Amino acid sequence: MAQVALNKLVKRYGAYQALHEVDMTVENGEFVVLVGPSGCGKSTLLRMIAGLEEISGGTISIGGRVVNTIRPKERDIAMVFQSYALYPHMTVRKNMSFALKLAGVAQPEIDKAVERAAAILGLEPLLDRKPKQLSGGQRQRVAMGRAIVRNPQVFLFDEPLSNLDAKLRVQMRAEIRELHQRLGATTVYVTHDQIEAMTMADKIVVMRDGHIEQIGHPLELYDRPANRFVAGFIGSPAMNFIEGQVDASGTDRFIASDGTAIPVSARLGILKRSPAVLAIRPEDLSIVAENTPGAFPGMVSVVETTGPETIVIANSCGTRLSVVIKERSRLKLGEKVWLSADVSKLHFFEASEDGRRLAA
Amino acid sequence: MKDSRRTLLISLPVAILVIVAVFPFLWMAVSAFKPLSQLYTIPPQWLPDPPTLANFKNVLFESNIPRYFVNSLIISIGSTFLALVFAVFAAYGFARFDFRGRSAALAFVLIGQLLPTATVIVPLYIVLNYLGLINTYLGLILVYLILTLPLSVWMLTGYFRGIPKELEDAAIIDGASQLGVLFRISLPLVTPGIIAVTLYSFVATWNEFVFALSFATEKEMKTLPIGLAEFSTEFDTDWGAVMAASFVMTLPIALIFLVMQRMFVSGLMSGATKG
Repeated sequence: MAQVALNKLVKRYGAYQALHEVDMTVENGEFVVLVGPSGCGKSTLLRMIAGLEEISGGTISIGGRVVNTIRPKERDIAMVFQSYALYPHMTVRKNMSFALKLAGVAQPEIDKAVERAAAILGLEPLLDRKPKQLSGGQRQRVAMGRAIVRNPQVFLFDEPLSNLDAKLRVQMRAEIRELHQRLGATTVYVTHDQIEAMTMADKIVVMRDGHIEQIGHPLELYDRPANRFVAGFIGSPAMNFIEGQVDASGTDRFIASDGTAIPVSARLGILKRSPAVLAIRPEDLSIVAENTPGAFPGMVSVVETTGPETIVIANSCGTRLSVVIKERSRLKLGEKVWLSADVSKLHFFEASEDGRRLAA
Repeated sequence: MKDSRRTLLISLPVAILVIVAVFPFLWMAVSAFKPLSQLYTIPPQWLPDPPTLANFKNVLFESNIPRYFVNSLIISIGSTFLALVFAVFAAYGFARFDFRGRSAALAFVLIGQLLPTATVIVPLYIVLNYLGLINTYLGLILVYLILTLPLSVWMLTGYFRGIPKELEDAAIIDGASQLGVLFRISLPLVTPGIIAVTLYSFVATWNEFVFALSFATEKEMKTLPIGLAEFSTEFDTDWGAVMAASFVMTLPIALIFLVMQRMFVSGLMSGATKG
């Protein structure tokens, strides 16, 4: 097991810069998830750790050793690919033995390692089948088995669950997490799915356009997002953003762009008179009776029931707000509702491009 | 009603095509066993009565055909093998590596295919003569690369490109060298391409006439197509012998196709990646 350290990592494709001086550390045994929209550079980063991409600048260290010029096979890493990448002309057993065979390990040792990995993943009955005879979930497990067999210092996962159906994804998520707890292996996991990030990570790294936006424990990112991007990316349904500014006249209110007033807590001196963005999560909004103090109006646009909860989307404060409520709702389209925001759960961000978090 | 009419609409032209394509070979095969008197009677005699092996005896034991057969075999196998070796490495390079002038090089390779044989005979003769390769196996083998290499490289490049790059990434991470990836992972997966290249090269060189006529002038070095052409003048109108000789010449190709056809594994890639 080993620590992975990225120091001012840069990646350029000709004139285009894909990664901008990325600094990141994965501690020994940690499960770190790189998450971000398509094109943010997370897969590129992973491939650079693996040694499949050249490094344009900065260093990558694995286990305290700088590996910039070291070939993938000598970095002692194993990778699970999005499309499994199983060798179609080999059986499951041969797929899993391939790396050890190349390393010159004796056949009895190889057999033992394969049996062990197969037992962990429940692959014993499949060992003599070819990949085309397996289901998606089984192929994914074989891909993981192929990685486990090598007993590497670092595991790399490149969006491994993206090609599975929703139900299987939930199941495999838990299995991967269990596997990590069992093996205690240093893991770097790339996904675009923030739910996977939230449920699986010890630490999440949110990326955008080749930059790291925030690194932290899942709930830290959830409760205190560093900027507007992270706030909107983490959490589903997404955070609500209301543009406007704090009331200049001194009362503790935030005036949205359409004039709606939302009560806020007292300690917002710095924000007065400058435009800002108030943000609140759908579950921190509630639907209340008309004369509730601090309530503000909205008009119902969509009502979505997921079973355990209901999402009400209402036009309010110059935008569409999502409200998550636990009860079944009998609201109809076009109906007027009164919303209330939990004052202790408000976030404020700059109105500028950066959208940094404002202390509040 | 509509279905059976549609079937007829498709099967009728197909049947006609099959008959037109196969009939010459059938006639050749049947005629090879006919005595001279039954070869071109009017009305035509469909089946030999009785069949005779005299033509084959003539061809196999009293002519140069066996020698020509061996020559053709050596040259075709040699040329095919060489083309395969070069094409595999070239195609892999074109498919997987990005280097300056790559697209130009690939286009340039195809130009070789466009050369009309008549235009290159003289310069090739001069070169071969200079190198002392006229009337040698090596001379013809090398020259045939002009015929076989361009399309082989082009075909194999396409096949290599069809292999998902992630498979090769996985192999690299598993510890394979670049060459190891080529031989352990990529090559097994382009088997249909290899077979296609082998078949194409073998047939092209086996049937080739113009280069063989120009560069293998000595009796000992001639190939089957030349031998066959001369055979007809040598024997004047011994069409029975010509048929038997043609039969002998066609046999290896037919056998190769029969054997290799089973080796075309479809769906080779299924199971490797998602979907």
